[in-house]
Amino acid sequence: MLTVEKIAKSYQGQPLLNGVSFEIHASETVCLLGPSGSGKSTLLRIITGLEEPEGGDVLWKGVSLADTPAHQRRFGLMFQDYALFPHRNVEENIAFGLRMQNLPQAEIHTRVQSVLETIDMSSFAQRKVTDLSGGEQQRVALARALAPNPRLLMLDEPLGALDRTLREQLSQELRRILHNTQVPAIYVTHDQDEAYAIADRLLLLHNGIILQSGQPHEFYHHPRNTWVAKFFGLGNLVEGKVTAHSPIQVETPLGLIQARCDRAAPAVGEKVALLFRPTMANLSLTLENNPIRGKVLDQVFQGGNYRITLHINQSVPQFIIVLPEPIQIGADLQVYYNPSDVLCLENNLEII
Amino acid sequence: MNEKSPAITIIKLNPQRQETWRYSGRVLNRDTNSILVEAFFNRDDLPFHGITLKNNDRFFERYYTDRWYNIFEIHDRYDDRLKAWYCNVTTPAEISQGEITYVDLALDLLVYPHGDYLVLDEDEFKELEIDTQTRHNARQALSALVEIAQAGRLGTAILNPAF
Repeated sequence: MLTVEKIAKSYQGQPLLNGVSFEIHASETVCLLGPSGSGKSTLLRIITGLEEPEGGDVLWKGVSLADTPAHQRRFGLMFQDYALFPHRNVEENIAFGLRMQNLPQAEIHTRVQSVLETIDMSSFAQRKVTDLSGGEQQRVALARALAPNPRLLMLDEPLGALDRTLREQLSQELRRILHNTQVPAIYVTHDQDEAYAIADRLLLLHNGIILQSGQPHEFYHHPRNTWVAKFFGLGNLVEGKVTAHSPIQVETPLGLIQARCDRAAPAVGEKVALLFRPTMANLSLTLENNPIRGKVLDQVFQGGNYRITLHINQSVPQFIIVLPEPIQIGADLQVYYNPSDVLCLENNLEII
Repeated sequence: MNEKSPAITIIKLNPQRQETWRYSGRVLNRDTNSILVEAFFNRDDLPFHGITLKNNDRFFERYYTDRWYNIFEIHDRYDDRLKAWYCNVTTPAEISQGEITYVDLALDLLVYPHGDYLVLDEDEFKELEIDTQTRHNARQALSALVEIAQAGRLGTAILNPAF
């Protein structure tokens, strides 16, 4: 439906977006994820037509929108600041945009009732918005964005102002509403948990490009490089140098480690980083497993398991593992990693 | 819809506690430490940093008894369109039954709907005869306002007293 093609934009002389390309398909919810300052909101403003790109194009069903002004693109917006009218009730707030379009009164009424049902707030029509909770206000803002039947919905950090518990609850609700309405949506956030909860597909924006795109589980199992692994907090990253192929062997401060590589195998001698996921450490020894030895520095009971911090040596002062049983602090511990659970990544980050 | 909203008088003072502006509004919402008021611009049309403040433009004003600023959200008198947010750095407001009083500390933040902002009256602030602590609090308040503005959350602050 929507095609974003090689969008370029600079900010104060520095390139901000450097050729961003992606597509949004029918009834798909895509999360645009990236750290603060990565240009997410700028990209959103370019798609809406509020800002012009310096290069590239935005297309709807293959037709360029370059000459279509923002108000004619029929894209619904829910910006960070949903700015409802404090002096109007829920119904009047939702109807506001429709009145501006000079729709007949009867149609306005029908549409408002319909979106109120969508957000499960039919009985709130006459309530003052200042009497609503933050979560309810947020749902009214979503209803206001949905009322004009947009062909694409864009949401810019809509849950940013709410506390974590409410955010988790509302992100599930948003997902349900977006799926029920079948409106394709771009959802911008810097919070990966929120992105996991909402998205059919994730786009990770970094250094002006889409660094990786895919379903949430793909980011977990196949992060493209160390930056992605670190951004998602996937586990311990340890630098090393490739010493052999098939299987890949890497010389690291932990010793010689056998690993798995998703992409083209790195050359012997190349510097890489290894990702050890905390939950994949185990205590049972088999011949081919990588042993890792350290001293237990700390342990925290967490979600039925124990999160244990190991001190390996000066180069790897902290290494986190998760085990089902407690280990005494100060004890020397040896754990094992199956080579298929150690991921060899392109190292584009200074880790230490 | 505001027939039942009680009227309130807003009084702006300079650091010498002399009255510089007085107008009345209606209370939309009252909370422990803050109040939301609706008022209409009572001066002639005024071009102001790229926008025009018009007589009868609608102002939503949130005042706090525990913060060194207040936030105004300005809507156009014709179509209610959001024009800007205007934030004053002030002493915490004194809110009584029928009056809101605050001392204006010159620094202002004007924020346009698309998020750009301007800090106004820095020079006037430097000239103010106020003590070091007050000056420090005012600076802190401006930083807090800029942070809220950059996060795009001024409208949320207008709606939610706790924000």
